[in-house]
Amino acid sequence: MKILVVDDEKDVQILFEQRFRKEIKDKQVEFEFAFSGEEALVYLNEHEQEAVLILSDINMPGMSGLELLDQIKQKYHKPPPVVMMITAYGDAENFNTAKQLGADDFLTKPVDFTSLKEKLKTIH
Amino acid sequence: MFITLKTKIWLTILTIVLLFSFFTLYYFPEQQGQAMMKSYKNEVLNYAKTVALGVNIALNEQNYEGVKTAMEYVKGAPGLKFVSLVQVDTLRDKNNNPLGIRETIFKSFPDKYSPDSGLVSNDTIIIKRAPFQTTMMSGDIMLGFNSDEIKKAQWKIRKTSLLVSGGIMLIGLLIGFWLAKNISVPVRALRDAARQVGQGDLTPVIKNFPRDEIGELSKAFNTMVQDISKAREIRNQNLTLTDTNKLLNDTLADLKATQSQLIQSEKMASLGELTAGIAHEIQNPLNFVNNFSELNKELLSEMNEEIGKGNYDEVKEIARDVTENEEKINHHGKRADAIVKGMLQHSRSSGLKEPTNINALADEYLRLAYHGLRAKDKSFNATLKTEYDETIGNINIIPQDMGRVILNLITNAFYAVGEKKKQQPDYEPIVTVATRSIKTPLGGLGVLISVKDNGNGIPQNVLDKIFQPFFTTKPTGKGTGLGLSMSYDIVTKGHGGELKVETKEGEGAQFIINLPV
Ligand SMILES: Nc1ncnc2c1ncn2[C@@H]1O[C@H](COP(=O)(O)OP(=O)(O)OP(=O)(O)O)[C@@H](O)[C@H]1O
Ligand SMILES: [Mg+2]
Repeated sequence: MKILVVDDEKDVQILFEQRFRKEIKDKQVEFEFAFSGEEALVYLNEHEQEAVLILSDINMPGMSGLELLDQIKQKYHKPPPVVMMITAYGDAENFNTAKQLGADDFLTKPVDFTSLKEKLKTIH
Repeated sequence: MFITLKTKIWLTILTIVLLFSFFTLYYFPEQQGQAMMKSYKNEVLNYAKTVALGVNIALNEQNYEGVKTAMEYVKGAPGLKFVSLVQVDTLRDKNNNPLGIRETIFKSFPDKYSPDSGLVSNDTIIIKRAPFQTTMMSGDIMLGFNSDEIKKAQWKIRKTSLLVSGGIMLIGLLIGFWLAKNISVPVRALRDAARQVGQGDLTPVIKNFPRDEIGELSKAFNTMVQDISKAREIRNQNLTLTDTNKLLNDTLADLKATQSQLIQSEKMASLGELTAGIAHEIQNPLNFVNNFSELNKELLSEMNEEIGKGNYDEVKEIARDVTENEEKINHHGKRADAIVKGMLQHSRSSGLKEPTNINALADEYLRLAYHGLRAKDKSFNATLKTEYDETIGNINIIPQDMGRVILNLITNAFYAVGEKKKQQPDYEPIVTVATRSIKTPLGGLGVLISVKDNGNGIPQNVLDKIFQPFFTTKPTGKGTGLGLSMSYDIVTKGHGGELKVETKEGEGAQFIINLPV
């Protein structure tokens, strides 16, 4: 399963790679990283339908996570990738907009990796 | 001579009444009396003629009884005093020339009455004669009539006239009163009201006006007074309006000056937003700290396992990861630290305003920034230009705060030119610091402090966010994004000034502090 992580914090890459090092070793998951919404769109254009799951931060400079979500849900129809939104503070407004725009799930920082792993299993 | 309208009305009525009274009391009865007298006299004359005719016929027939009957013909006539037959003989001389006339009362009725033949009309009696002529005798029939009847009739007329003129007088009086009430009273009301209005009192309103020209006038007057009071109101309002207008103009200028600030401050985080922003900003590094230390714990226990297995290659790899993570922990810890420090700086309002040489202050911080940066990054270099307006002298500012603002602007400028230098090695970085004394739009004095660089400038989509707290385009961990928002607060809230930016993408940016003096 290919997962695209979108976050402006570059260290997220190391974090995810270490947190999922066993799963990566076992080739259960494969990670791609984009450090802005724009970058994520570029990646999605170049690797059509490769990412099954997109994990995106909401609060990013430039294109925000919600804008990215909107674009993804409007342009990449078949099969629509699962998009999970991540935010540092789980406020109702962000949550509602994300749901409205078609987010499949909503996670708050700090990301609980154990439960994230559980969720990933259900997507298979 | 002032004659009131009322007097005039009364005079007019009096004249009319007097003329009328003269007519009814004097002229009319006089005429009437004379006419009556004339017809009475005629009547008497007619009687005389009739009797004379009868006597003539009787004498011709020598019927003496007939003479008597003819004379008694008038005996029933009212007012008759007497009727006499006067024989007239012409006395002649021998030559038959007339010598004179002799008149003899031949017969009278009533018998006992024997008037003088020479009697003529007077106040009490009317005498009329009618001649007769026969061969036997000739003469006159003389009638005497009482004028009492006529007098009585004349009196009656006079009495009626008196009554009529009394009635007319009464009607005149009534008309006078009515006119006075209908003309004089409303006119007087109008006059009084007009006088009041003339004295500046605009309250009078005329009520109960008659249905005529005066009424129309009263209505027009009311409307006029209303119009005047309206006009006065409007004028008063205008007066206050010009007052307020001036005030408004002044405030408008102030408002315009603060408007841009307000727009910015609106964008500025409110306390809630700020808290959320802070939470977010600190949350991120703390998450990393927590995550990486948790990971290290896991890695270390794994390492222990591998040591037990004697798998030293694996151990080395894990140790390298642990070290790397440790660095991340350290980095994000420092990042959180910097954010908290920046926040503290942001919220602290230090010091008091004191007269400060702004040129010296700017220069001091320019050096500080330059040498500070050179100490960290030996490769950094930039041409520094200064254009100080020496006429400014000392201005009242909080030196530490304004110093921090200038430092921030200069640091940003250095960063911007440094970035461009990395992209274009043959580019010449220039940073200019300038001060200038200016006149504010309100006429007051002001000071401009500008920091200009020839870096890459600020893209349009970034421009409206640069003053927001935590907004930064620097790589994560390098900038807090609090520099400009703090500077903005210091300049606007702390000093009542403006902080503006002018930029052209690719050519550079200029930050301008505008301080009132
Ligand atoms: N002279 C400049 N040229 C180009 N961009 C600038 C300039 N000054 C500020 N900026 C932009 O404004 C942003 C916000 O600046 P600010 O000083 O508030 O934060 P920062 O410089 O990023 O962080 P810090 O001040 O904490 O180091 C910068 O990240 C940058 O994008
Ligand atoms: Mg800065």
